[in-house]
Amino acid sequence: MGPQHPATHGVLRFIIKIDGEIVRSVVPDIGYLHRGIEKIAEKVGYIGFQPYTDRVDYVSAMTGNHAYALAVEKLAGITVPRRAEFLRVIAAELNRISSHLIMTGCVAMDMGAFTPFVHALREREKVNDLFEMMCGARLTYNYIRIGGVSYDVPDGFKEKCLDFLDHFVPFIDEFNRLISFNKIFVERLANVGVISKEEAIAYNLVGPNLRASGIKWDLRKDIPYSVYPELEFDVPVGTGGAGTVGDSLDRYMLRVNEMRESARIVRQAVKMLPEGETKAKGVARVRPPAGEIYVRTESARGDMGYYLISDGSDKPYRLKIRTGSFSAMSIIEKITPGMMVADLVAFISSLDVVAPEVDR
Amino acid sequence: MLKDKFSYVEEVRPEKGDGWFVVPPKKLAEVCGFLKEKQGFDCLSSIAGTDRNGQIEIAYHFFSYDKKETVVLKVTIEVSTSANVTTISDLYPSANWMEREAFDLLGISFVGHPDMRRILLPEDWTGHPLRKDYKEGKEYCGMTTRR
Repeated sequence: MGPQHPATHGVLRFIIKIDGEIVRSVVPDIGYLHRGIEKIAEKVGYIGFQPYTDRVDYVSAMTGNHAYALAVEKLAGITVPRRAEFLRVIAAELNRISSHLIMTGCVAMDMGAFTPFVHALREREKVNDLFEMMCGARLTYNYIRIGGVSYDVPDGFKEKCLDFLDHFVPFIDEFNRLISFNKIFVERLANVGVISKEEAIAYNLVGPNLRASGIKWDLRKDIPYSVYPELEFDVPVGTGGAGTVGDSLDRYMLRVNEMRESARIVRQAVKMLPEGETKAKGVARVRPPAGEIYVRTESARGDMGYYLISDGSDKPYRLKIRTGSFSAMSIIEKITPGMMVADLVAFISSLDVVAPEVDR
Repeated sequence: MLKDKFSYVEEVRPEKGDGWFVVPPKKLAEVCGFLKEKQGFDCLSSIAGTDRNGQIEIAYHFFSYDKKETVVLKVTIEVSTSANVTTISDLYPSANWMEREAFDLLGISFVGHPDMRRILLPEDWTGHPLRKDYKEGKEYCGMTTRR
């Protein structure tokens, strides 16, 4: 299975050895989207690098912005205004919803059901409308900046956001009726690509993929950052509803349930949104002191870690981005032998791998 | 706890940012084995190499889900004799790809690694881009790298 053309987006390639319909080995071949983002960071400086953090994971750009901003702020000792913190959480959780909509829609599409994908994308458009209100962009937002956010939200945003949530939460049930509880769909995913707890930790799976294997671990809860401690939400874990804990269906259902939790967080954050500034002063020429920091955040694909080494100048000495998709790709080689070819598709799409995030 | 157990481990605590432990390259596997088996650091979160003007510093971030703690180990190797750091991919399977990435972008060769190939760049690429003295070639396979 391979890329069609370098100009198509999200390309990755697998070298598969098959024995009839049985997969014997799968070797992922990555790097088609390697843009050298870590090298670019050393050239363009702290402020100039901000738009590139969108491009690490363009399906969930807000959480990428957030992770980078947190890393720089923590090393430079910048305090972010409270209103900005809430706006960040609203943005990040809305982005988690839109990213999970893509994932759930794509799993359905890969299983041959096209209609749910269209429904999911229709909802995603509504989230994008909200983002357009916030910052003018619909895919690569560059909204969460060092020291705060780029713009305050316009009048009417709160109402529009709450309207969306009122409409969206019932939609999740509708979506479940449409596809999640469909017998064929469930049988295609249940017991396929089971990842045990031990394997998940050993291969450093993170985020939804880790939780689906039955480990209740969420950075927003366990090592909280921003204003997450003030917000109430649950952390869904894999239950093995129709198969085994850690199968593809668990990974799918977990994201459906996370959308519900994210909607809960957004609703609270919108209601609690305080008045005030949205950007800290004096961040235009940020120069973190010499030192290093490793900050991990919960992006839509799990741990997004920025490892930043500063030498006291206006450019990072070294910036390493550690992403969830990279480790998710590395487990494919381990799990797939013995699988049917059709199940391989289900397994890979249930891992929710985003190619630019693998390659950076 | 690492300093009590291993006399050769040095601890560094800077004023700003994270601290780390310096480990001699030859002792890395021993310390990692201790962290994993005895201390419950079951997750290797990241491996990051940094070019420090002729020396390469590799930072390993370990994490324990039970303790919610991170430990940073650092190993420094000379570029000229880079082949003296051992792989930890037998202890931590996730290290396999991370070490391949460090090899690809920084040219660190890990001794005992099962599959030491480039991972992100094409196999016929020359040089390791994250080295500070890296100069990009004018073209690659007949395609210009300039705009």
